[in-house]
Amino acid sequence: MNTQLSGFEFERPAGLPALRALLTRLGREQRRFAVAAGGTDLMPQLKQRLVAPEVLVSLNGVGELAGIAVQDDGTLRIGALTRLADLVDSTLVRQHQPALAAAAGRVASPQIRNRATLGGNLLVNNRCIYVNQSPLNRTVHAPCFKVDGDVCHIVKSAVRGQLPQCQARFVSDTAPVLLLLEARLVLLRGRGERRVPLRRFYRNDGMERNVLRPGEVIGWIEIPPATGLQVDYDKLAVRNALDFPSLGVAVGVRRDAAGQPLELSVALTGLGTHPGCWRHAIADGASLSKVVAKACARAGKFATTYQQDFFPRDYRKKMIGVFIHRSLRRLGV
Amino acid sequence: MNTSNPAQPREHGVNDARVLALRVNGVLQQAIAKPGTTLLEFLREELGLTGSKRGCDLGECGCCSVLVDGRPMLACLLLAADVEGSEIRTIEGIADGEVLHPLQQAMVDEGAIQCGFCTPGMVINGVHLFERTPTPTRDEIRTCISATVCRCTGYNRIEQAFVTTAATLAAGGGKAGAQ
Amino acid sequence: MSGYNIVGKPTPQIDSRDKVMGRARFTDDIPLHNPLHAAILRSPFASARILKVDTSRAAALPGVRGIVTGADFRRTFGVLVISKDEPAMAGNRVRYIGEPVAAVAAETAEIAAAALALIEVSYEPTEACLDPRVALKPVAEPLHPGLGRDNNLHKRVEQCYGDPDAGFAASPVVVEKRFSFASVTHAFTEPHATQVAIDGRGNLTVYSATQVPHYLHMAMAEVLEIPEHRIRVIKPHLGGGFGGKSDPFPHEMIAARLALQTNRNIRLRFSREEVFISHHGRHPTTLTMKLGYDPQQGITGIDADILIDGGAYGSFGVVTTYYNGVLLQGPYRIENLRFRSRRVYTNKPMCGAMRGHGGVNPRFAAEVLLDMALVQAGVDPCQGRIDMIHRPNTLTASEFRITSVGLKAGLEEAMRRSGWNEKYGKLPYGKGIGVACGFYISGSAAHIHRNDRPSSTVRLTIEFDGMVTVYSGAADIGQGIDTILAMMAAEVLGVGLDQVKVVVADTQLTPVDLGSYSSRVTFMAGNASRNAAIRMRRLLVAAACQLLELPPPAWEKPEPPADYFRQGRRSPDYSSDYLGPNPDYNDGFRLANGQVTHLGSGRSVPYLDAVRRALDGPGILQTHGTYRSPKLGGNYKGAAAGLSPTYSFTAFIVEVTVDPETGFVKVDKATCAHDCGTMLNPLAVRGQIEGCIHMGLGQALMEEIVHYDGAVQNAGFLEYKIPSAFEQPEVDLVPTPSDETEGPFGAKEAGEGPLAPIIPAIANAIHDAVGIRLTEVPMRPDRVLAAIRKAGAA
Repeated sequence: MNTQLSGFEFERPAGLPALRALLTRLGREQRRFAVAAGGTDLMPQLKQRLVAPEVLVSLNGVGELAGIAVQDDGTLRIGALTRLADLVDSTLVRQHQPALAAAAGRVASPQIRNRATLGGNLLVNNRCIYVNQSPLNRTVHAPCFKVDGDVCHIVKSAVRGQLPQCQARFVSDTAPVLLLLEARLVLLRGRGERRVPLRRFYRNDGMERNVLRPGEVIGWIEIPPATGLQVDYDKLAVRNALDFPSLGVAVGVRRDAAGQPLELSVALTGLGTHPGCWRHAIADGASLSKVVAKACARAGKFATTYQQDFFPRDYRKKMIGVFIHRSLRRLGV
Repeated sequence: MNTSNPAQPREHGVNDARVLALRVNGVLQQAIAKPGTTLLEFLREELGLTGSKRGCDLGECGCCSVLVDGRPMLACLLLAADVEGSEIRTIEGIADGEVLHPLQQAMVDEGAIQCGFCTPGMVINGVHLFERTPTPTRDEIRTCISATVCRCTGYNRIEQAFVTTAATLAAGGGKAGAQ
Repeated sequence: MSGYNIVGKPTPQIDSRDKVMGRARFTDDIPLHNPLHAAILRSPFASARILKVDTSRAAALPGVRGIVTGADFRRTFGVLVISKDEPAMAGNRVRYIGEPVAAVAAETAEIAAAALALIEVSYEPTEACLDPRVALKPVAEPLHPGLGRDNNLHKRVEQCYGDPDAGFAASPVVVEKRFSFASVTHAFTEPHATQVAIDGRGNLTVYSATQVPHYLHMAMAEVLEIPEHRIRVIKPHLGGGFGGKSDPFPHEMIAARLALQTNRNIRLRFSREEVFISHHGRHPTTLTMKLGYDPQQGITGIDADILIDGGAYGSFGVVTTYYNGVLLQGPYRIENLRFRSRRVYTNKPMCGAMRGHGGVNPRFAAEVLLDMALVQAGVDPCQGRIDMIHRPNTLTASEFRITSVGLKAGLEEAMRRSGWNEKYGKLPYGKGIGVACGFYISGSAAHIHRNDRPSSTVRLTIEFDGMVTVYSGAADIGQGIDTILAMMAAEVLGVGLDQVKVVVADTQLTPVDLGSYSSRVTFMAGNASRNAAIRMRRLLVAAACQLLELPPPAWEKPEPPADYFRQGRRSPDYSSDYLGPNPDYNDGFRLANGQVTHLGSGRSVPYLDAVRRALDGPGILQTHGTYRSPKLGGNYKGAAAGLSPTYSFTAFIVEVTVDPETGFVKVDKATCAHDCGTMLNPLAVRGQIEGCIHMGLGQALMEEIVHYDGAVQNAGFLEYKIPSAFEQPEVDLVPTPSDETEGPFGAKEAGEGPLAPIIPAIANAIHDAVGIRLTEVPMRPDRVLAAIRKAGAA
């Protein structure tokens, strides 16, 4: 496989206004462009010829989008360009949302965390062992829907137009935690911006993965203050290094002032085309173990899981309950 | 059935190569780079700094680790043009002349080097670790080492070299980040 | 061991400074003048006829200078003389996905890649054979019709020693199981790379990442059909091999052919995917083994039926087929052994030699079955093993000459240090301790190419300033043989390591060494270096005698001790390298501290004076040393398989934690007793053993090549899971010396033997932890969990 890159122009706008202007212009000119921040997800895709933009837009000159701050109302506002390593090291994040720091610290390898950004991790492309391959390998098996082909090697009966078209799985480590924290995304486009709750951001498809419009970028991630909410994240991976989650489970417990659990929430990554997220109220006097069982059952039924990973599908399914219980133990429930 | 190579011929004519200036190991270096030239290619092919190794070119092995503004990053995943203005430090810039960095010396002394292909990556990541954390925990050392694939050593000797370095630094011997 | 200046001292590799500073040059780091960049077009079909290769459009692309296809190569090759079945480039058919079909040399890598896309290949796909069991059935068109078979069988070996059936019949315990092993690969960090420089007279200098410069040299001459003297092979620094660079490779032939065609220098390097596609890794294996045990007699019989999946070509496969059976003859005494071992061709990347070659998978089966038998018989797994370990100076069933064995004491010490007696069977559920043993060859006694030349020859010189240079064709692949060569010379000549240079792995400058495979170099090249140095020492001692006006020592050719060729069929030619026992140089002098001292009188002369006097006559100071194995073994077909001048022995005691909810296995500690005779360089030995633990751990728990319709689906470090620093256990090395007389200063191999037993030791520890016996490797968490649940349900 030739991993040399060529055939695209490179733009690195200096500052947000320049970025907005550039994206508007590229949209107007109908250029095929890709936006990269850390580039740790995009670069392998470029090298494997999974994407072929005419223009590569780097966000690394847009300093406005980096940084972490707490707003007056207690909202934690994180620039999309914030490197994962900075998130891990941030006193603010560790203090306000330690689970996010922990999840960010589980992404890939230290060098990748030094470069990869939070925005990028939320947008990390869905993966499939039949897609994330060299051109030679994809030719062998016939290109699939995700690379403009006409088959799905996972669901062989799939036809074009049927949703979900593509079963490539969602692998962000930070998304499940942010879902439980009810994070919002501030999306920038043209001169405008809009806010989208993260729970409305993802779509049930490995190709059309989210509601981000062409030319739109994530500007900030906002996490509202959540008193009484504790979140835990753990991932199933072969090694304690480099691997994407074969399964990632975030578990949240919301308690009242007296410390009584009010709500149990669960979010999953690594299994289906998008992250799953559920909340289960714990009614007064309800049996906690029943709620937990319900949460496990719900999560277990979340997605059709396919043979597309080191671990067999049924094993990954089985581990959901185990991981939920372990998180609850760590959360003191 | 007729097939041609799956790699589609890519568009040519947009290779607007230009002179790129990067500060590498303290020296301003200028060379031609295309938009698609990675930092690894720039270092190896244009500047002849072959100490950074091309083990996978996909960000999976860590052998091409370099310090970008003081932080270890994978040179194969960076476009040279995208780090313009940054300070780059490669394995060639770690020793002070012939005086090795304490970690380099420990890697030699502890037998942490076999084939040596991952060694630059290990050293680059380690130098950064000791600049941040002169007395790292075992877990911090392992996290740092896990960033780079070594197939020869089983990592034990490398880990030992890190432990030895921490002790050397604690005893005031050597200077982390000697340049 | 006392009395050595250099030997036995932990010694960093002599080139480690260069490596740690980033200035060691690996093949792709070497700047050739204005090279063309080569790229290879690879087959997308596992099995197809090639009807036509049209390169005209590619040739017309500006910047393209050369194109080669299968038509440019007439001769096939292979590392073994008996299976030269691999073309440098596919001719009229392709046999695996990724097989080279055409190659281009162009002014830039980008143009080369663009040119590949313009080559049109007409394929007619044919039915691929991907399943090794199917490969045994008749097919219309076998992969290699030249063998004259109606199926895809490559090699079948059946051997029987003693009477296993009688052994089983008389045994109180007989156990039998079927095992399966995934394909694993070397995953060295430096991708294959070859650069070829060509001069105005058409001479080639080939820089290549190879473990076998000599075999590459010969194969290249044969495939390119040019005389050997036109080819010079140089192995630069090499980033790991583990057997994966121990064959001559198609890309090496392709690069050279492109150089000849274009009269330009050629640069060729692999992507990581191409490394995985080229493979040559451990054979996927299924085997059924039966083992009988009697507490009084030990192992009463082993019967094994082994099927290994060789992929598209032969590589080392014939040897692998033998090794799968014959390497069951140790480390324990066994009289009754029967095996049937078959290697088949399939339309997948070929398998070959990988660290522990051929002995690893059957070792797993034997050690797991033995563990079951010992448990059934109520015998302690360590003690039971200790009682059966080969005694020194014995012959095995197929006449392996077992010389030194230090394992018994080593395993006893490992038991003490690991707390075996306090732990085995007594740890809480989820924690376990297990043991397994192994043995391995220290180089193959038989040559691949039949000739009477030495296995290794070393040339040694001393310059006017006293600097010693060792010239050897041995290939340092990271294991540190360059350092060993220098240590041997320094020890014998009484100089410091800084006074010895090595010039290595350059077929123009260095005498032949057969290469770094079969754990042979420390033993063989080490002996050759030692012998060259002893000859040099004699020249210096003779010169010192002149200066001291003493009569020169009368060196009688030492008669090898009676047991030198213990049980071997001695041939007079083969004793010529014997220069006396370790460490006695038989000269009455001490060379140390810059002095050559006559022990009898205490008088001395400076080393430099002796050097200069010795130079007075000839003007150069040059000696040579060689190593050749004693002639060993029986006279029947296949008798040579597994014969080695000596064998290493290993025991592992492993402690694990098994998570019964997830099936994850964490190896907490590995206590290793490895008998490699004298540890020449304890730092290197430790590194080899820890590296074996890493690689064994990977095969045991996570590594496997995944195929989909014949394509390698995890051709990278992200999806092919090799263990990280977090998975590596704490390691305790138990000193395990043995009385080895034939190794250089008593050394045996340390690079491969420790790999095999770590895997079953983990399996046996898992059994101690949670009571399950796993027969599928890797022992992935899902398999562990399934077995735990099954055991719980039962």
